[in-house]
Amino acid sequence: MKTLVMRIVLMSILVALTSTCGHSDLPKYQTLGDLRILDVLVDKPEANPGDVVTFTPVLSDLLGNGRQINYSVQACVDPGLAFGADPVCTIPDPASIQSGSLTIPAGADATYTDAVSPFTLTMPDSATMFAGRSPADRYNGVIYLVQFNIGITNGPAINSFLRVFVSDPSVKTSLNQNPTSSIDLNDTPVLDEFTTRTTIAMPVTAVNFRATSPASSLETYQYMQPDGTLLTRTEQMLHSWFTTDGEFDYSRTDNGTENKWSSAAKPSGRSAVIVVITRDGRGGSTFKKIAMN
Amino acid sequence: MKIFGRLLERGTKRPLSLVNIYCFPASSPDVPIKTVTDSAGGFSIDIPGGKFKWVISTSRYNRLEQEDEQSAGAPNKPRTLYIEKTTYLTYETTVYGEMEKRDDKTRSLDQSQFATLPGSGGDPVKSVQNLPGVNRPAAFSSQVIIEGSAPRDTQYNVDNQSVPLIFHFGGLSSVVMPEAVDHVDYLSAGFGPEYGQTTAGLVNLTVKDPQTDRMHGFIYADTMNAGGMVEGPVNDHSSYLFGLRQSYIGYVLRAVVGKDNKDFNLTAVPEFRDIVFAYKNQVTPEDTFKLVTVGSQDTFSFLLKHPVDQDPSFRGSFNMDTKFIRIIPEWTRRFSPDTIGRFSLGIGEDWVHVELGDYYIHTDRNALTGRAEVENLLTSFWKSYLGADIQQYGTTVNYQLPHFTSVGGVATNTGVLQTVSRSYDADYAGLYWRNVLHQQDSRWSFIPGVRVSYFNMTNEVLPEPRVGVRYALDNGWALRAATGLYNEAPPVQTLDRNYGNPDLTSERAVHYTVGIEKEFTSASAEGWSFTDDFFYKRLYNLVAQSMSSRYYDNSGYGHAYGMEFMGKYRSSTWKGWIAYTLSRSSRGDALHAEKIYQYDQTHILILLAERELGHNWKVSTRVRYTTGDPYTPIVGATYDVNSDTYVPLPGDIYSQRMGAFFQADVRFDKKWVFDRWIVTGYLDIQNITNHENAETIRYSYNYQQSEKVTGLPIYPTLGVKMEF
Repeated sequence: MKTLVMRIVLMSILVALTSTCGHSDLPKYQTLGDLRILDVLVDKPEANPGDVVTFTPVLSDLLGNGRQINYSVQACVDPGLAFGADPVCTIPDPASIQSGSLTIPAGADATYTDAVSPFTLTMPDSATMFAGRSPADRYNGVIYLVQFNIGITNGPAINSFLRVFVSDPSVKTSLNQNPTSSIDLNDTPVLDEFTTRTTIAMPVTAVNFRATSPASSLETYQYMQPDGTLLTRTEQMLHSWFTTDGEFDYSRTDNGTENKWSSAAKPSGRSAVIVVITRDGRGGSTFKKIAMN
Repeated sequence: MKIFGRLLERGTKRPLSLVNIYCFPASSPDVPIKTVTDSAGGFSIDIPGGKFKWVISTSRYNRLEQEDEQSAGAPNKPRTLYIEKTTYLTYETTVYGEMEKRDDKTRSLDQSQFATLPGSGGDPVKSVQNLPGVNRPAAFSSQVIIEGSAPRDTQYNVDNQSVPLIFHFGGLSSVVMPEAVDHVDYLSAGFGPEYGQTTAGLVNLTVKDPQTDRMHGFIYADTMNAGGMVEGPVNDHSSYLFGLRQSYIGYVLRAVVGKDNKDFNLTAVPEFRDIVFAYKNQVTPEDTFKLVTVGSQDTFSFLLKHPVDQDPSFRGSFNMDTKFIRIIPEWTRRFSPDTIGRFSLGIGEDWVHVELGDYYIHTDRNALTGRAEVENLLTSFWKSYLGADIQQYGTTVNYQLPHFTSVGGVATNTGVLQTVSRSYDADYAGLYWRNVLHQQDSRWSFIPGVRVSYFNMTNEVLPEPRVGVRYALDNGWALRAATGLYNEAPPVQTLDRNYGNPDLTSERAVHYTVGIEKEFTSASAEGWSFTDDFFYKRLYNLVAQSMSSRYYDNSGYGHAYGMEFMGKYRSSTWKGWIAYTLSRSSRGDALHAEKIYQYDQTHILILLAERELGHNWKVSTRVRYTTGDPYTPIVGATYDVNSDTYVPLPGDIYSQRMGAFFQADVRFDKKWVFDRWIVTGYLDIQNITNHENAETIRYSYNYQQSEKVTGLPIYPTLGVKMEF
C-alpha cells in the first residue's frame, strides 16, 4: 500500500514541478502534422454478444497530402489487459481479420484530418465471450479487444487498440452510450452536433475554447466488484484538443474547463483546424472539428 | 577577602571541575594565588583587595586572562568565569567504531558524524547512504536501498519500534529531528535474529537521552525549515527533551512556481512538521524508564488545472495528509550484575489520506508494537539474548486506484479501477534467541542464533536460523562471517481477496557474508582502519505480478552479491572515509527470465573528508560516483484509443543504463562562541560542480522521441542555529 501511495504522491509532486519548471523540446501532444490516429468512434461502446458494431477511425495526416494509408483490423476476446497482458491478439478471431487501404478526405479544409471509412465487426456469441467468466465480468462487460493498425508503405506505422465491452443482456440491460458535447468559443457555442463541421473566422488574438458535455451525457452506472457488490459510479468526461496551427494551453481538459488557444499566422492553401475528442472513460467518444479560415 | 565563583565552559555553560585557577593580585603579581574548582565548577579564593587578574590554563581550552577588581567594602558579587574550548567542532559523543555493536553487520553513525556531513543536511537517515552497500536512490528520493534490494524491503524503526514512514514527502527529511537522534544503526546482509520481516536490512534511529546537567536548547532556521529543542533535568534522577520542527519549503516552492500557476493552483503548500519528546527517569539504580514520543505530519494540496499529459487519468484536486504518532515507553532493569531486561512498546496511530480526482486512499491504522529482551551472561564465555517482538495493526483502508502493471519499470495503466473498502488485522510476531560465545583468550567468537516469525494473514510460522563467527588474527586483523535465513511478509495489499492473491506466502532470502578487518590506528586512535566484506544473497518466493485474475504470485526470485570496502582515516585535524561497493543484483519471475534488477549499481564510490581550519571553522566535502541506474528502453508504443494514451512497449528489461552519476558537495561550518550561547552557521552546497546527472527519461506522447531529465543542479543551503 505504501508503494501505491508513494507512487501517487511522488508522481503528483513531480508532475506539478516538472510540468512547470521542466523545459522540454519534445513535440506537443496537441500538435497535428504527422500521421496520427485521433480516435476510433464506436456506435456501441458497450454491446451484447452477436451485436454488429461499427467503427469509424478519425485520422490526421496533415503533412501526407492525401497519401494512401494501409490499415488492418483484427480482434479477440480479452487476453488479460487488466492483468498486464500486452494489447495484442495472439490468436485473433478469423472473422475479424480485415485489411485494405484508405485516404483521409481533404475536404474543403485541405487538412487531411477527419473521419475515414468505417468497418464493422460482429461480437462473438455468449458462449465464446463468457466462457469461464465471473458474474462480475458478465455484468461489467468482457473486453472484446480490437486492434486497428495503420501504416504507409515505407513510412510510419501506428498501432492502436480499443475495447468494446460486451455484457450479458440477461443481467444488464442498460448499456453505455456515446457522450455528447458542445464547443464554446469565448462563451459562444460554435458546434453542437456530432456531424457538424463548423467553419469560423480565424481569431487573430488568443481566444478561449471550452468543451462541455451536458449533465445528461454524464451517465451514472453500476460496476460490479469481484465479490458481487455493486458500486455506483458517474462518468467523467475527458476532452482532448488538437490543432494544426497555434497552441492550446492544455492538451486535455476536464468537462467545462476553458482552454486558451494562442493564435498563429494563417496557413496558406488550407484552413487551420481544431479537433476535440470527448471520451467518457468507458469506450464511448465523440468527435468535433472546427475549421478556421 | 574571599571571593566565590564558578568556572563554566564558554557557550555551553558546562561546569568545569578540577581546573586550576590562578589569581595574580596587582599588589603582588609574582605571587599567584591558586584554587581548584569543585565538581560543580565552583571555587572560592582568598585574595587581597584591589585589582587582580584571573589566569586559567588547561588542556583543550584557550588560556584565559581576565582583569578583575574587588575593593574592600564594595559588594562582593560571585564571579562567573567562562573559558573557551580550543574547538567546538568536535562532538563529545561516542565516536564511530567504539559504539557497542552486537555483531559485525551493524554499522552505526552517531550525531558527531551525521550532523555535519555535506550533502545530507544533517539528516541521520540520509547519512546512511554514505556507507558501503547502500545504493544511491533516484533523484528526489532518499530511501535507503540495501545491497540491491527493493526500497520497500528496508525496515525503519525508531527506538526499535517500527514506524510507518521515515521521511517527509518520501525523501525530503527524516521524521525525527537530527539533534534528537543519538545514533542511527544500519543493518545489512547477515544481521542477527533480533529483527524480522525484512529480507534486506533495517535502519534504526535511537533518540538520545536528555541531558541532565542543566537546561539546554537551540533554535535554528535554514532554507527549508525551522525548529528548536529544549532539554534538561526535571530533578536529580530524571530529565526531558522536547523538539519541534516546521517546514516552509512550500512557501519557497510557491514563490518559485507561483500560487496560481498555469498548470495547478497551489491550494495548500507542501508542509511538514514533526515533534519529538523524550523523558528519562533513573527510577532506581536498577531500573530506568524512558518514554519517547515521535509524531509527524505532511500536508499538501493543489488543484490540477488540466489532466496530466503523461496520464490523463490523473486530474482534479490533489490532497495529501499523512501523519503518525508513536509513544514508546521503555523499561530497562538490571536484574543482577549479569542479567539485563529491556521491555518497550510502540503505541500509536497512522493516517494516510491521499486523494487525486476520483482516486483516493484513506488508511487509518492503530499500531501496537512491542519488544522484550533479556540479556544474560550465562557463563564467562556465553552471553545470551532471549527476546520477542510483536507488531499488531488494526487497519481500515478505503481506496480507489487504477491497477498498474509494470514490466522492467515500464508501467502501463490498462487495468481496472480497483475500489476497496476493508478492515483487517495484521499481526506479526517473532521469538528470537541470540548467543555470543567467546572465551577470554580465544581467537574465536561464535554467534549462533535463531528466530521464529509468525504472520497471521499468511498463517505462517517460519524458523530463521542465523549464525555469525569471528576469528581474530595477529596485528589487528580479524576475519568474520555470517549467514542466515530471512523472511518478509508480502505487502498487505497483494493479499486482497478481490485484487490480490490471499494465498501468497512470505518472501524469503538466504544471506552469506565473509569479511576481513584491520586496524592501523595508533594508540591515539589516529590512522587508518578498514573493513572489506563480501556478500551473497539468494532471494526466492518473491511476490511478482502475474497476468491472472489473482494479480500476484510467489514466482519471483533473484540474487545479489558484491564486495563492500570501507577505509576510515582519523587524525587530529583530518577525518574521513572511503566507501566502495562493487555489486550485482538480478531478479526474475515466472513471466520474465532473470535480468539485472532495477536497483543494481555496479560501482558506488563515496569519498568523505573533513578538516578543521581553526577558529571554529570546518570544511567538509563528499564526492559520489555511482554507475547509472538500469532502465528498460521503450521500443514502441500502441495507442490506447479509450484512454487517449500510448501504451509503451518495453524492450529488453533493464538492458540500458543512465549515465554515471557524479556529485561533489562542500560544506562550511562555523561557530561563534559567546559566554552564554553559541551561534552556528553553515553553508552546504550540493553538486558544487553543477554536474548534469541524468536521472530519468522523458518521452514524447507517442514514445517516438525522448530526452534525459537531469537531477539536482548546484544547490546551496544556508542555515543558522543558536544554542543556549
